[in-house]
Amino acid sequence: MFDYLAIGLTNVLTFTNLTAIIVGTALGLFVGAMPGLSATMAIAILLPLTFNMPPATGLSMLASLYMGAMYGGSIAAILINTPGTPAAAATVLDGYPMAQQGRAGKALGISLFASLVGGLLSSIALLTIAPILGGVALQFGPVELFAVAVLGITIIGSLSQGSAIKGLLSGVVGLLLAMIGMDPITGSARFTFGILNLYSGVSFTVALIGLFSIPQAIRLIEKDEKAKAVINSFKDKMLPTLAEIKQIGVTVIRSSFIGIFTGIIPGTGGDTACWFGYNEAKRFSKNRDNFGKGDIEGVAASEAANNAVVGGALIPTLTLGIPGSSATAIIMGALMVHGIMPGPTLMTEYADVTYTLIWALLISNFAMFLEGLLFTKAAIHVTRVPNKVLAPIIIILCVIGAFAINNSFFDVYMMLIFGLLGYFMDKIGMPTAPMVVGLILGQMLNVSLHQSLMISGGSWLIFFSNPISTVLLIIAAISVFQATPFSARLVKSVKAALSKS
Amino acid sequence: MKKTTKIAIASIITIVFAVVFYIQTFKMSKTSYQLPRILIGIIILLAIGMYLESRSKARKEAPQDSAHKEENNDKLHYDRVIIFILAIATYIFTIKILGYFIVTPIFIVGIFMYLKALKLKSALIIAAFFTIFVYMLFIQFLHLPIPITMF
Repeated sequence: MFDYLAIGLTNVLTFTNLTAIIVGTALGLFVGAMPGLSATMAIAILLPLTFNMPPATGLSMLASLYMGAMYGGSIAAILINTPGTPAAAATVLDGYPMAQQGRAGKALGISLFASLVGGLLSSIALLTIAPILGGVALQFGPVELFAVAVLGITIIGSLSQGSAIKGLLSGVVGLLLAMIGMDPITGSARFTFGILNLYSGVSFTVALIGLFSIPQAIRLIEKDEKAKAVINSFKDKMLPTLAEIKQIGVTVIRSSFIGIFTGIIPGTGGDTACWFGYNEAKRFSKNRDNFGKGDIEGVAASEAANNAVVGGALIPTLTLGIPGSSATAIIMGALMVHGIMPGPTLMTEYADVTYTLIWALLISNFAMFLEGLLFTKAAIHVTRVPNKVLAPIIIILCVIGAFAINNSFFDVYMMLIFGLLGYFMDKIGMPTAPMVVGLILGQMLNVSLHQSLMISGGSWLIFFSNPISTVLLIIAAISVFQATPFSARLVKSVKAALSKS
Repeated sequence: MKKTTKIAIASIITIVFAVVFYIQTFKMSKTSYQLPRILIGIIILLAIGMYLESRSKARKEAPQDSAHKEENNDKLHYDRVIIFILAIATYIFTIKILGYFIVTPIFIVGIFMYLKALKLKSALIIAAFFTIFVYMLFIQFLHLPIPITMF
């Protein structure tokens, strides 16, 4: 393991990779600052740009972009009362009042400092937990991998915001779409409907560009833009004083751990973590009455939590092949574009790429801090870019990006179909992230199922023959059960019985 | 359109999609159709579940809440959405024939003008700059293909 760590560190310190980290973080910072553009969409659109890069360089850029966007989201939240990304929603509560009080620079500085600590702690968690979990996952055979895939899809589906049924449906449809193309077991074509291009399957890269970017572009134009309460500049110092660091220290560390654990759970991301971190900070604070009125602890709590999600979400992604968030699902897609199959082998067979990515994430925190100090004033200008200007630009990047994957118009048509599907899914409140995860996990589920059944001679009881797969499948069953109305009824009846007794 | 109606339509489309896939499984061997058929069964159950859930939620919702939601929905410009989607489709189909350099600036300027996002002069400058920027980025810097050929 230490050899791999050293190899990763040596790789990341090359000029190309450091440049990718610096550029990725800066792109993330500026894209994150634009209200209406999410980190996930930015990664999806920029994914094609990494196709011709070495895998470690491309992945380092995408991970750095994710980290940068998490801080970038707070710039719009603090200055124009609109979160730049959904993960900065809780930052608005105290960030904007601080800006109104003439402390915009301080709010941004606190956000930057908390983001740095959150990001660093989560990178350290990734650096320490991932190799251990990866080592355990290496022992997994097809039976355990099947259970992991089932768990991944059920958790990401059932923990999706809104209705768990819709989340699960989205995930299972994704799994079915992954069945399109040549069956790797029998070599026969499935669901190709006579279309030659479908023999190689549905490209998840095309699907994720469409699902995450086209609906966002349409959303930008479907409503009239509200006048933004803009604060154009700030004159106060950004860097927090020692007394301020002391005041927010415990909150930042608590929120960072909240972010890491939220990130590890598939299906939950920065948007959940920021509220979780904020609410816990308010609960533990001695000055809880000041929350919502421009308290630095409020800004710190939300921002530490959302940046800490990045490293946390990469833990299940890199070790088990289950993405912890929508953004890491795209990073997982990027791995597959480079011919690297996510899962246990990432920590051994592709250890050079994986450990470079982990170190890149750690270094991106310092890049984010320095670029935040240098470019935050410049990023204020991008918060004012009208949504109607962004929409056609996003579309062009999607079209050209989808075309660049295979030099094929078929991919562009598929991207548009997935984009429209994503928009209609959004209209009925169905999340798109489980579908992408389903597309990614589909083949793993298919192959591991058939291998397991071959081992058992066709008996499904094999999945309950060892403790790991049994536990994983029980957790999956619980996560599905809690999504049903029966679970609410059960909780009610248990509560009633307890109160009687 | 009420949300329950939208979900009812979505459930029906999902079930039709599942049935079409189910029919396709008859052309496959047992090994190939085993997992897809399980997934199709789950999809049909979840689609029915989604509809029942929306009906149950609609019953619980207070009438004034749903009225308020309808009011909010009215603020969406669906005409704008339809034209934007048609413009995207036209862009994709014409770029194949006319090439990137002709269609991209027309698409950008057209959308800016339709949405009244910018004045013509600014729209032309942004369109020209962005078209060249994407070309330089993809072709010159990253050596990735773009649909540049005309005819």
